[in-house]
Amino acid sequence: MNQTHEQEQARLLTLAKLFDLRTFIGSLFCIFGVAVTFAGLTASDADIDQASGLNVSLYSGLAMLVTGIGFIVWMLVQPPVLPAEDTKMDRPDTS
Amino acid sequence: MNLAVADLQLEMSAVDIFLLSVYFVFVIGIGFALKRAVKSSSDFFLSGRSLPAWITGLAFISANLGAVEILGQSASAAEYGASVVHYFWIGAIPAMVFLGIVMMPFYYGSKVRSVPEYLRLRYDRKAHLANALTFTLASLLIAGVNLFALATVIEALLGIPLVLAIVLSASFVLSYILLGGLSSAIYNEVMQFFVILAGLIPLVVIAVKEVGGLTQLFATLGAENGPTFNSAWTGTEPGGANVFGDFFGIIVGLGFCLSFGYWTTNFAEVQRAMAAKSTNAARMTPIIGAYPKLFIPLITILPGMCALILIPGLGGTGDNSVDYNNAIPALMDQYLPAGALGVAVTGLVAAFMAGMAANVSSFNAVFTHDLWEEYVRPGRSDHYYLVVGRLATVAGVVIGIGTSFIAANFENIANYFQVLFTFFNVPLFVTFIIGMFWKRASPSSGFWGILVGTIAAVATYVLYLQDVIPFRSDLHESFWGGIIGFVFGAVTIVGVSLAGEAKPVEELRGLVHGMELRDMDEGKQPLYRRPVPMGAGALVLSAALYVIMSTL
Repeated sequence: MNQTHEQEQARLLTLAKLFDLRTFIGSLFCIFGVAVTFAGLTASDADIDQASGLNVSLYSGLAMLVTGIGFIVWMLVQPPVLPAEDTKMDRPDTS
Repeated sequence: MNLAVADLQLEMSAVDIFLLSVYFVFVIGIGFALKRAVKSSSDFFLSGRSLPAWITGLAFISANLGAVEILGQSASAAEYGASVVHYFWIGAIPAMVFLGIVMMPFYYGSKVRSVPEYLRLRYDRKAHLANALTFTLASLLIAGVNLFALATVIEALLGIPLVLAIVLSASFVLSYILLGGLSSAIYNEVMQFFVILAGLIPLVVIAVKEVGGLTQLFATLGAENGPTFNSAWTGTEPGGANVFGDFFGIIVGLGFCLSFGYWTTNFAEVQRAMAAKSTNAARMTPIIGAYPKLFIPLITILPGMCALILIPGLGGTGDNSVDYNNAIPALMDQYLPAGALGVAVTGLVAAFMAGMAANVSSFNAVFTHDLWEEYVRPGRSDHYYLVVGRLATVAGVVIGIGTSFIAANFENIANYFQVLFTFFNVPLFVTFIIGMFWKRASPSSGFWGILVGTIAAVATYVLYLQDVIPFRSDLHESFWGGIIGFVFGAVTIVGVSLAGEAKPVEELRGLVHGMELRDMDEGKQPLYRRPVPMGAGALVLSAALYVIMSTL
């Protein structure tokens, strides 16, 4: 009985992590980061000249990648808290 | 708002299209993921009051960072210069801090589900209906204007025909709100916020580098356009030349009347705070939002000012002229290579969708609770109102599509209506603030305050248009119109209240100062979760930014 309850809780926690906003933003920024970094690595000299001599896609791609990883790490370090069974209006601030 | 971007077709490469497509997949994915969580009307309209403050705080400013605002503010900066920062540092931050510290305990503690509902409990049904009706009408109109703007940009940037673009983008917004309700809208607003930063920060860095740095930018603009262009307070003395008018109008009219009217009574904003999980999180929502809001001018006003130097023909009238509203798209076209361009375009498209979603998600809540449940079909099951809310969402988007075509064909009419709704905000704020702090304010005084205040504000505007009252500009007029609306509204409420009966004290519980429900644990919270010190910090930073800018 307890065993299944714990399994259920673990399953719910996995779901909550998967659907946490930080997971969405983190994975979006990882995908964007990789794609934009790649565009920066393959940028032509004309591309770089156009952007005032900066390889802007490379830098912003790497920055997005770091941001994305940061969100995922944040989510893993501070996982979402499952809502209590009785949903009170003024839940204690736990996040 | 003229958004014609005719000759601005951007060359999107494969990677740019890829980024935009990934974003759309995420938007819909969020809707499906959150669908499981929508079990009651409270989940649909108020996210079950369960979100942490950082999410509601970012959504709070993001709901006001639609692309209409981004393009509009950069356009104003190119046209009027540095003074546009007033709309942020004095015209938003104090109001947001006030909302969090002073007003939120009434909104959240009284458990109302919408801003109009507070008016019904504190005053009477007349005041309630006046607010609920004007709010739903304004939401639909603004949703339509947002949709039209979005479709114009999609058409111009991606070459998709206008009608198809309108229907496509409306369907996206509709499906994710229908699936996940307010949570969906809020999640997308927060995600949009980070994408727009990722898209615009590189653009701003390049633009500032191109003009030779910040000091050089301000020196050049000052030399070419005069000292009122590169400084926020120059020429604000009575009789001065600053287009924003005199400092009294800026501080009292914009900084108090107009901004408090907008930020503290607009349900599209307040709804985000009501979705927070505790009184403390609700109070922290606008205050957390205030910190990024302080720096939004760096990605809107700054590129607008740079564009004036970098984009030939900006604001001109000749054949090769570029509309002010296209300052940022023109910079993107000129400077951003593949990859970075895709992020910026995605950010703009996302911002448009978020702007429209904010209107639709607050419209369906007010329509369902404040109009349908209150006046048409009271006392039905919760499930019934959830269904009504979903249907209202569909209807809202369909009407939004309709108003977007009106906006497309009768731009002036849409603009006039938007101006009309702004007259309403200030008297509404007076009604709230007096109702919250004066027990004596009588049930019927609210409606009369709103009515007389609005008429006074409209009258001021008409007298300005007829050249009876001279103002330096529409902006100058709007600040003083706000002050006049405030004074007339306040005098009316006091007069009507003194002549009538006050509301019985037992009906005021949770609604009036001294009887509101406070979070007793707030003093034990760590510093970064306490509204008063954090709010004070935002105000100090705001003043500091004025000082820093004056040294440029």
